Amino acid sequence: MSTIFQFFYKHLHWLVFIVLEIICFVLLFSYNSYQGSIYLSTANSVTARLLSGKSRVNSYFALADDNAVLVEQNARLKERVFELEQMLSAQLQDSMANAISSEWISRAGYHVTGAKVVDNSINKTNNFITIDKGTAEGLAPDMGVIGTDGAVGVVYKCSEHYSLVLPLLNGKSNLSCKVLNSDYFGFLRWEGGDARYAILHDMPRYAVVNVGDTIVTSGHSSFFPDGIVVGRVEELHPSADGLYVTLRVALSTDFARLHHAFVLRKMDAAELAALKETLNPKKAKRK
Amino acid sequence: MEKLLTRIAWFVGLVLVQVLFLNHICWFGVATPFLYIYLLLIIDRDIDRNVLMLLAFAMGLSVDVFCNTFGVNAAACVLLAFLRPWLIRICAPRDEFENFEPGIQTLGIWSFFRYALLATLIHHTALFFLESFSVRHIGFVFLRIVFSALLTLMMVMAVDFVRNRR
Repeated sequence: MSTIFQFFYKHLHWLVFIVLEIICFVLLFSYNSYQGSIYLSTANSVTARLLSGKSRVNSYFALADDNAVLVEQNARLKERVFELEQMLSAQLQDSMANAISSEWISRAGYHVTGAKVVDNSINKTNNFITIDKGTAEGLAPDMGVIGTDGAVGVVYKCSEHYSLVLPLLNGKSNLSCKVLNSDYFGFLRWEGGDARYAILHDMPRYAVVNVGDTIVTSGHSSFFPDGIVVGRVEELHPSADGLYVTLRVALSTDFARLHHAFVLRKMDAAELAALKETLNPKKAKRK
Repeated sequence: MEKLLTRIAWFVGLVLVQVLFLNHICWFGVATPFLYIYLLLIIDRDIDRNVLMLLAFAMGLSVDVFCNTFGVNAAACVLLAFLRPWLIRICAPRDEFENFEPGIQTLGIWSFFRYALLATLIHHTALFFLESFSVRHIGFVFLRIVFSALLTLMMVMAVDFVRNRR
């Protein structure tokens, strides 16, 4: 009996080694399905708070650049607001335009929540972004996330005050995209390596695509509305079977310098109906 | 007791430096240093193997939590801790009966360099292969292993050098 114990004690380190490695692999393969795994990510409150403290310090160094970008974006948004208000008042021809408040300047049917990027990586195969808004602010998994220049990714998991975003720069990301002003669509995936480019697969061979064309979201997924800018076509490659063409896309979002993100939350049916009513008051009255 | 406190300080310090600064370094798009394994290198030789593996697991997991890699760093560290006694044996061929902490001072610069090189390569190979988990970009993964190992090795040597000067 004692020899058995001695044997076990002598080889205990093998057992410890195997058990620990098994735990690691279980973590590696189960984090997808196991909701509790949010605590093992940067979206748990301790790590997120530490990282957000650091990003607060870091953000001071990027203030000048950030401001320039925000001012530029503000200008463009203002322009768009004026344009839309004008269109709207021409359409409605009454004082309704004033009632159209900034609340739904966002694309019809989506609420927009601004968030700060707390943590970000671009050098791994599966990158993640952590933002400082969570379930308390109404976020939930599978909401689209955009940056100042275009699509960023999709909310993956949420804790109370932080969320983990699956960016386009993640091997698991798969976004339905199309060429602007056409209906040909394909799937955008990132294959690792350079964080500035992704690959658009399964575009039909006969689709009319040129280098320099703009790639936008197709609206086939519920995460994003139609027409959010994703990038620009950089190269064309026919696939091996000749049925499809593969596009190398220069992403419009600069993930290395991402500081702010906007989460798109689809309105529920009741909200959408109320919005439609305010948009078409005449129709509603006629009823 | 004092030794335990110093170790805890090293643990916390190295993990913080790793997750707050080093993780965000990516030279030429390939090289990221993983200095935190330094603690696993310098712990005294006669530490119980199981304790060392548990320590490595805890350390790897703390880094994992901060980079959303879910067990990749922990797996690589446990592997390194498991192989460490063997590494010390082949890199420090003289028979020491007394316990010692591997370092430039105790091993001499070349032996320590060899030891750190092997340890870094083992850790980084496990780390990057687990992280990419495919052979599709094997060339790129090798590039990352080699250049990251170089960067880590330079930092390990520098830190050990500075530590011994004091």
